Amino acid sequence: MRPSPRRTLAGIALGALVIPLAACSDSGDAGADGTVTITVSGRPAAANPAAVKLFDDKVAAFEKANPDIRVKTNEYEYDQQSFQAKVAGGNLETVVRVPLTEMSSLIKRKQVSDITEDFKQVKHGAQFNDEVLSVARGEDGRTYGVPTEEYALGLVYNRKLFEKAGLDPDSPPTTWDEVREAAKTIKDKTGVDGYAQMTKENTGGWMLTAMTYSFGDDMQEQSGGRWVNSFHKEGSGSHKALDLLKEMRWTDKSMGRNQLRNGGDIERDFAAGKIGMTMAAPNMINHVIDQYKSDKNDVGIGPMPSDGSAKRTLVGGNVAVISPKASPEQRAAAVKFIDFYYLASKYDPKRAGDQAAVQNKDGLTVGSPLVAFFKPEISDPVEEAVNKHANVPLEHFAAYRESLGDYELVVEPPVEGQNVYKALDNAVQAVLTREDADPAKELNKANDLVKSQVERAQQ
Amino acid sequence: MSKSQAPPEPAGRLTRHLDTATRPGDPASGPTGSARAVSPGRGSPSVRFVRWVRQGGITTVLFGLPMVVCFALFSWWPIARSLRLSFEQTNLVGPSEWVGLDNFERVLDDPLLWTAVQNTGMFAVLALLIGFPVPLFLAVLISELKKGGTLFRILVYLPVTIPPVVSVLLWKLFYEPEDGLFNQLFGLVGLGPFPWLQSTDTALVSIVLEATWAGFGGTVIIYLAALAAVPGELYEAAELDGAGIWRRVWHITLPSMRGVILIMLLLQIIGTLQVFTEPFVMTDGGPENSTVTVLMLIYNYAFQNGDYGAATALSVLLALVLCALSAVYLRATRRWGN
Repeated sequence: MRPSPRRTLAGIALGALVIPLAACSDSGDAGADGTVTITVSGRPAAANPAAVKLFDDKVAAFEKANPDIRVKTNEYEYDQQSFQAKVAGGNLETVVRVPLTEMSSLIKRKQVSDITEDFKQVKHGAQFNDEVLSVARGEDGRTYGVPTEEYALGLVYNRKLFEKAGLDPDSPPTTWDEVREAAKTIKDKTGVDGYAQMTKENTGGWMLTAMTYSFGDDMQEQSGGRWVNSFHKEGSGSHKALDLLKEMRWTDKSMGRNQLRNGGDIERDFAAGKIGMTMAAPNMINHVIDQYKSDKNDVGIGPMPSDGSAKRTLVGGNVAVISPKASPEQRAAAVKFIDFYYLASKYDPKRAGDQAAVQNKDGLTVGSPLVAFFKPEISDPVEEAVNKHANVPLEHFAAYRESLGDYELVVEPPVEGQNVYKALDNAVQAVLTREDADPAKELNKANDLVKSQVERAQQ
Repeated sequence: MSKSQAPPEPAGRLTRHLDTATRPGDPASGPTGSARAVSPGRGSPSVRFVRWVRQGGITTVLFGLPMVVCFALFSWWPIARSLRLSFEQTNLVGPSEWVGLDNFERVLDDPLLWTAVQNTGMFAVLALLIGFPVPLFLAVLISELKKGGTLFRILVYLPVTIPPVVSVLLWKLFYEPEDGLFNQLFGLVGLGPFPWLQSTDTALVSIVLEATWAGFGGTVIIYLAALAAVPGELYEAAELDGAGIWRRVWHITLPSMRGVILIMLLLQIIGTLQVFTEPFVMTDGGPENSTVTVLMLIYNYAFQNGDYGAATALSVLLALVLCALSAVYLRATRRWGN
């Protein structure tokens, strides 16, 4: 055994946290000449010179348009560990993009700035789709960030496997019964696992939540002025979802034996042609084409399957947040930057088109469907401008695109979302790895694990 | 690598050299030695001080200073700070708030804690059963080889040179239930497929196997060094008396290595109770929390929940348990170890 490399991780982590605490850092306030300096993370990696140039050019254009704001950039991208260390060290960038799944906990811990007032300066702020903006709002109704892109989960599928199995790749399954049937057909006809689902690192609970929504149910409900878990109730959406997975895994045997997978694992296996269908956001299309070099003609996406009663899906994506240490001037400058950098290409057709052209030239996928941020009169011309440069067959996403209008976009469970997901990972894993697992019992176990956390969070 | 390639003699010399270097009272053996050499001295404090300076006391302090500063800054101060943090609640932005024993209560209330404690204990026991005898056996075997000892030393040490995360990811691929290496190999002889990491029954054992494979090389090398220090005359005498190989191992080798074995055992127990990388990378604690460990809980508290109070509280509890365990262990084996 080797004891030394594992020397208390906690020690290392806390050491890393504590040292910077001692060395107080400045927050780079307004300079003597009245200029404000902000730091912006998310500059693309140097390995991708075209993307770096695009980023730098846009930043330069912003500085030119706003001579009193100086922008420093770096390549930091959000991840849980370093974010906490940066907050502790006081050197968090002024603008960071975080997955919207993190928003509720960051808001609760007051680790992001309240930008309700600054947001009023955003162009077209009033025409924002309320559903889209709601992910950046706290329970108190205040605004803590600006969404930069959002996805509604759907059903990503391998068109080639559909054809091989004698299924019609142009009409993907739209109900869960059809999904089950198609998965079995794919398995029987091609030997490839028809359907796969993420199960670990909280993605198990995340995906179960998406399924629960699609069965017309929620994860938590109000009771006596407080939120309590409802996913474990008899006949709940989660229960129906687990029953379905159990049948697919053990009766139809259409899900294979490898069940401990996260999103990255599924993308890899999907690109390798080992998976017929999976629940995912449309950006998975970009990943499997750009990163794993899948044939763009093989990837399709359909709407989130339903049980026929409701049309609902879970929303994912990123939100730009502002450091809790930012001064009011920095905050205002940062919101201006977010507006310029992330939002303009969503309300200005010319900018959107130019950007898509550059992406296309760089060989990046253009045309995978996104949730529209603004009311149709603003969003439609933008989408048109982008799709002129599409380099993937848009008709393969038609079913999904059309569904966006009439699907309800549902956000995370309101209280302790990540911990609810973590507890539910176990339920999903149990049903998919143990034949005798009882969905109702596993859901109750998950509730026992997270119940007190949910209660405590509301005290 | 260089260690593994060294022939037995230098390794033996190194051990002997270390032995003499730490012999108490030896003036060349650093602070402890000089302190002891001085302590019997009589006379007024000033005389003792002058003698202390003459005998190189200041140099000793100067030599020790960088180390002390490093330890204080990077080890003791964070430890003290963590201790305080375990009684506080902080979001790392504003000032932290003193909450007394709240964090400890919350940690002890967590229904996952006992699962994690059980898993960690189970991991330590399994690692002991699988991972402790193997290196000892291999070390004795390699030391008995007339030829090829160096080659085997290299082969045995090779897994240690692979970065832990890489070897963990490698084994994760080997364990894939559909087309992983192990199931394919077992399939050739008509066995399996085994679920490996995919079942609550086998996940923990699978992780122990990987950890043993990745770590046993280092232990073998240490045992080999200890073996080289066993005086050859003992074996010769035993051989003359007609002792076979097993009796030689049992009556000479193992008793001579008692001290090293005891320390390695303690280090292994402390190490395995802090297991993190393997389950974190391989299973994320699954399936059904069957591989979640105490350190993973600490990680989740800190980095997932941003609850540094709970994370440090559990760290402090773990440290206390390890201290107590080591104390009991050393006490119980005090007589045995010398």
